[in-house]
Order: sequence, then C-alpha cells, then structure tokens
Amino acid sequence: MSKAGHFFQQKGVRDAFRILAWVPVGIFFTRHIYSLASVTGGSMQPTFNPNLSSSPLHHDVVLLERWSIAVNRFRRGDVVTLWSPQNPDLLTTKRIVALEGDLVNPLPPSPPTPIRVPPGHCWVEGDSKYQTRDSNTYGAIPLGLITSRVAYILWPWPRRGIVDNELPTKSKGRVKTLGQNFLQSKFGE
Amino acid sequence: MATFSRFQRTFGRYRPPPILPTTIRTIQILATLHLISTTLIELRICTGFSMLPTLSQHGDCVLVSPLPYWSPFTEKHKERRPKRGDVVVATSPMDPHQTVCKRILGIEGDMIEIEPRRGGQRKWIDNSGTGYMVDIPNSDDIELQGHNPDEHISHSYNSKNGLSIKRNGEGQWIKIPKGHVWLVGDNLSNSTDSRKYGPVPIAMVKGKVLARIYPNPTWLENNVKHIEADV
Repeated sequence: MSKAGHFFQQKGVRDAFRILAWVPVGIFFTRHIYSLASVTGGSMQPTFNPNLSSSPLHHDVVLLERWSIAVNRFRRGDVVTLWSPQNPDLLTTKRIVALEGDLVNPLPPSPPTPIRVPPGHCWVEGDSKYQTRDSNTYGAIPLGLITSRVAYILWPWPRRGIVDNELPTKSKGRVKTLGQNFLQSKFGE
Repeated sequence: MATFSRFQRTFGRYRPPPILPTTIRTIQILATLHLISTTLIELRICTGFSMLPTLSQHGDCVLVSPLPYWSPFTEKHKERRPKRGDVVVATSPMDPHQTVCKRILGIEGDMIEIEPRRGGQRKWIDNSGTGYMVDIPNSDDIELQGHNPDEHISHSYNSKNGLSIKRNGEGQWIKIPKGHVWLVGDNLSNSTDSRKYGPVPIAMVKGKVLARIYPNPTWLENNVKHIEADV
C-alpha cells in the first residue's frame, strides 16, 4: 500500500476527516437556514435593547431565520437584518414598512412628498421614536440587501419570545398599500 | 436460458446502497461545493446583450470570485472596494433572485452623467446586412455650424416640432452616494443598468469577473482609461 493510503488508514486521520466533512454543512446551515446574532445600538429600541441607557453594554441575542429570505417571503412589519446601503461592512436591523408598489409618506430627513417604492425595493424604518438612520435617510433599499428575518429573541430570558409582526405607531398611518385588487387588475392574475 | 441465469447471477448479488450513509455523504459533498462556489471561485454563465463587446449574448462561461473584494481584516475592506472598470456580478436591484453582470464606471464621490451620449436621436443603419447604431447630431448643432441668421425662429420651430429630443436622463449629473457604485453594461444602447435603477450599494456586488472561460478564454482586463482633465 502507498504512503498516502497508510496515512488515510490511520484511525485519528479518518476521524478527523469524518468531523471536517460536517464543517461545510454547518456553514451552510448558519448561512441559509438559521443563525444567532447579537443586536447592538438603539435604533430598534422598544423591540431590542429597550433599556440601553441604563445598561449600555447589554446586547440582545436573537435568532435569525434565513430560509424565509431564500424563498422570497417578505412581509410588511417583519424585522429584518440588512447590509447598510451606505457601509457595506455594517449589518443593521430594521423593520419593513412598505413593499414594492406601496405609497409612503416619508418622515423629515427626506422631502415630504409621497414616494412610490420601486419594484424589487422595500422601505425599512427603525422602531425608535428618535431619529434613526433608515429609509427616510437613504431612500428605498433593494431587497437584495436583506439577509435574514429576526424571528425570536433568545437571550434576556424575561423578554424571550417571538418578534411580533406589527408596525409601530409612528409608521402605521403613512403607508398606502396597493391591495390585491390593484395587483389583479394590473397583472391579470 | 443461459443468458438469463447469468443476468440473475450478476444482479441477484446487487444490494441497494444503504440509504442513510449515502444521504449524509451527498449532503456533505453538496455543502462543500456550495461553500467553494460562494467563497472561493465559481463558474457562471452570463447571457444577455448588455455586455456585448466583452461577453456575447449566447451565454459565455465566466470565472467569478468574491476574493478580490475580501480580506481577513475588517479595516482592510476599504482598500479592497470595487474599482472603476471592474466587471462584476451583482444582485439585481429590480429582482433579488436575479444577478446582473455589469462594469463599474463610478465609485462613491464620482460625478456621473446619467446618459453619457451627446446629440439628439440615433438611427439604425443597415450596412450590407450588418446593422449598427449611429448618433445623428442635434439639429441645433448643425444650424450653429451653418450660422443660420434666423436662429431664434429656427430654435422655436425645433422645440415646437420636438426635433431636439432630450432623452430621459440626458445632461443630468448625479453624485454617487457613500457606499454605492455605478454599474453600466458595455453595450450602452441595450442595457438595463444604473441609468435605470440608480446607484447600487456595494453590498449587492457579489464578485468580480476574472476571466472568460469558454469561447476563446482570456483574462478580462480593466480597460477603462484615466483621462487627465486639463482645467
């Protein structure tokens, strides 16, 4: 038998390979199915890190549901993580307020004329009632920037639970959704 | 009968492979291939007319890699941002499930003219079977060259009949915001690109096109020339 054959016949080497073969599977799982993340900062404040001023070092640990993005399931009110359009190395958390075709009345940093969200884009906003850096600053963002949906708060044990799919009061009345009727009349479904 | 018994002897010994280990191995192999194609290097087929002089519309096989824009240190990412002239593959801003292959013409802070074509209309000229597009110079320019005395009248005539057509976005300049790039196809006359959907965030850029593999393999060069502006 050759030298390489002897090398692979050893028990330790074979076990090592058996374990290493699972590494790509694990990476696939964390990239496309579920993964954990910690949320820093206060732009989503009533939902994540509600008492940031009293404990600034505290981070919420959340469960990211990635498969729902892969199957193109975007809903208004979902909390999602997305790459910041201004800084490609920064992952931010925002709530989807409007999807493509909706009419949004933006908040102060942008001009107060209603904006139609272009196809393949969405309008995201932070939950905090103070100004956050969201679509009111940088406009509607492409859906391709969204990496996952925040499904569950895991760590501060008393606040654990499903992240609810509900628009905050500041975003509620400002979106005019084109209902199912519009889509049917336009695309003839 | 003899053939049948031989058949029976050969296939009677056949046992189907054990289901569980086979499935596990298959999943492991697929995950490894996926990991290699998303982080190291990938062969992709690019179709469409938008990159026509560089890549053909019939689907060229190209080598795509995200590594040129990646570094193990987060601080170094800034130096490895996409540069002007790179051919890149990016997620389409119109549809998150499609990717587009375009050339980067501007990076953040650049001033870009949205429709970089001077002159008015263009016309399809069929020259012995091989058609191509020609720019027809603006009628205003022709009259300026000819020193028309009734300039005022001719101008109003033009605007009334709509002879000096301004295309959408022509003569408009835009400053590319922070963290964005300007993607344009090489075939400017038939390409849905940043002129339609605006600047694209760098996070949408998935990788750099390094080489064309299948029809006449070459490295794709950065063929954008830098011109010194003498002001």
